[in-house]
Amino acid sequence: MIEGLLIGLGPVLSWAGIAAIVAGVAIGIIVGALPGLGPSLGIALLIPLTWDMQPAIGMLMLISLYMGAEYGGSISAILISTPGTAAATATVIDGYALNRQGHPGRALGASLSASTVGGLVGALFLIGLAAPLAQIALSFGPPEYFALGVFGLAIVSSLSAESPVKGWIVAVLGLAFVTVGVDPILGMDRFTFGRIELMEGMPFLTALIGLFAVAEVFNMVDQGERTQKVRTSIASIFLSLADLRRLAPTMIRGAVIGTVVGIIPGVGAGVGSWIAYDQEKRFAKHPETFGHGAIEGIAAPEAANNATVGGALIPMLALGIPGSATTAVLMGALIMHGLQPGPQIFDRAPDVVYGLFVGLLVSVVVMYVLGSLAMPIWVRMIAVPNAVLAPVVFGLAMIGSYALRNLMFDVWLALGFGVLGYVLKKFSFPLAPMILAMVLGYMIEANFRRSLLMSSGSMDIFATQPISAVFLLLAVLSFFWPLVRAWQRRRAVSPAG
Amino acid sequence: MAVPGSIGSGDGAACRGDGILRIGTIAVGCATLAFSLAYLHAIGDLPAPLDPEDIGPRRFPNIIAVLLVVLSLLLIAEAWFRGKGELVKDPATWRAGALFLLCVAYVAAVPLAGYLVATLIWIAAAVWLLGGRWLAPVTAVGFVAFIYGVFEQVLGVPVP
Repeated sequence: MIEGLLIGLGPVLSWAGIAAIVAGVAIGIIVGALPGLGPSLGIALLIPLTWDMQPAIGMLMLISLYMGAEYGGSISAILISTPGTAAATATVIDGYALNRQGHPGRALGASLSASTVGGLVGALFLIGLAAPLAQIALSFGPPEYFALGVFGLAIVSSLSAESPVKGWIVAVLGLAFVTVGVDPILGMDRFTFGRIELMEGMPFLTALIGLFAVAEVFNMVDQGERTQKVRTSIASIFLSLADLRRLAPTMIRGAVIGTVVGIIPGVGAGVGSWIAYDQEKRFAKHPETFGHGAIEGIAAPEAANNATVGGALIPMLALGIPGSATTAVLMGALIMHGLQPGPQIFDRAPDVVYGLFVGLLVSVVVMYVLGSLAMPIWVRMIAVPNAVLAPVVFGLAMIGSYALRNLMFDVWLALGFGVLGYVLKKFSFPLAPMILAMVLGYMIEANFRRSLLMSSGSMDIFATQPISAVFLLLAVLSFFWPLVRAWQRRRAVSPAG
Repeated sequence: MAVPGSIGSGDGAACRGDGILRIGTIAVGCATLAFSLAYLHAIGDLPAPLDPEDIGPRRFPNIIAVLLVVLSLLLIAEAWFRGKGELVKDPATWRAGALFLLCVAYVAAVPLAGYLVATLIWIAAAVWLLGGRWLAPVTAVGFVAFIYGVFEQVLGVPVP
């Protein structure tokens, strides 16, 4: 491990590495603070920029953006009561209340300190757990990978949707898109309709740019301009020692919750921050202060959402399945750089993996420094009107989708996915299951067929292999769990009403 | 039985837009159903398995198509039987629609007018039309200069 971390220090301590981390964190804070944009969109737009960079440097920039964005979301949540990212929604409740009471600096300070602690704890878990987990995963064969893919998909399509059917339908649509291109076993064309551009499959990053960036452009125009005034004069965002001492247990609890939630495939910062907020309120000495500017109500979700970054990277690197929608995008970046996420990556690209370990720790420190010193810049960024933001994001999306393969076809495809994403979002369909299905679909089909080839067509192979059986059982449980919960809620409500 | 699209007796803000959500969900369900039937039809063109032990290139898409048909019908049924909400006009959708047409015109214009010229005009027009007014020329020039200077020259990112 120590040897690995020393390898990781190389890219991180190079000039290019430091520049990538600083730029990544700064861009991350901006895309996080701007409502509507977020880490997934930021990374999707930035991936083409890393095309010419060494993989280790490019990935450092992208994970730094992820880290910065998870913190940046709290700035607009506190100052204008609009969460910059979905994961900062819980922060609005007490963050905005504390701001309204005349303490914006204290609220921002609590968020920055908690994000820093959360980021560090998540990164330490990543360093401690990813390599041992990858060692176990090295023994996985096709049945285990098939079961793992199904588990990843089952959990997201059921947990992320307000209506499970909406989540499932979006996930299955994603699976349908993955079947475009060359068949994983026989190498024959499927659903390409004679288009040479589709031979390699539906271009994943182009689809991402469409679903996240282009769809958001239409969404921004729908919402019109934000009308809230931003308070730009903030005295100091450094917390007092008393506040720090008071918040330490809250931050640690939030960070551990965020990390654990991050590790669960497909469940990202949005869920983690709500669980942390809820737990903190439940165990608080004065729960009545929550909702009225309780500083713990800011620290808990903010520690959690930054901790999910390290947590979500664990299954991505060790198993090749994304821990969150944003890590699904990061997987696309790794694949673009010619690296297949999964346990073999530790041997094939140690500079990238260990560079990410060390880089994540450094990005947290950079986030604290930039977050505290450059606050006036981030605050002013929130004031950029949608009239400017929407065309600029579309312009970047166009460049991004073109640059990946130098094809105008991809620009049209991104526009098509943008319309699809806009329509789905407009009618409350979650987009994350589609992205995860597009990441996991190939893994599921290819390993399903390889398993059946191994067992001469017998499905028993999935039940007789213990790891595969456990994952499939977990998949069934996580698939039916939301239905059981919904039924329980209905039963609880009906006697009263 | 409720008729989709009928104007219900929504009482207040909570119901506003529910009608649109319901019709939209049904429309997405119908579109997915149509897609899954077309997908099912296209599966017919795929070859049969070569190896008797391989399930072949058709089986997985077949499972997906059947799941899509079932889920589309479930989605339509779920939205159909949900309580009716007030049907409100949504002017915002027209703005997004207009921007979409502008985006189509821009992407089509890039190969004809060249990337830099088309982008300069498009950004200025879009910012102006979205209400940015005096910010339009500043944003357009700034964006094109940034793309040319940073993306193309420094980072070597190919532009159309």
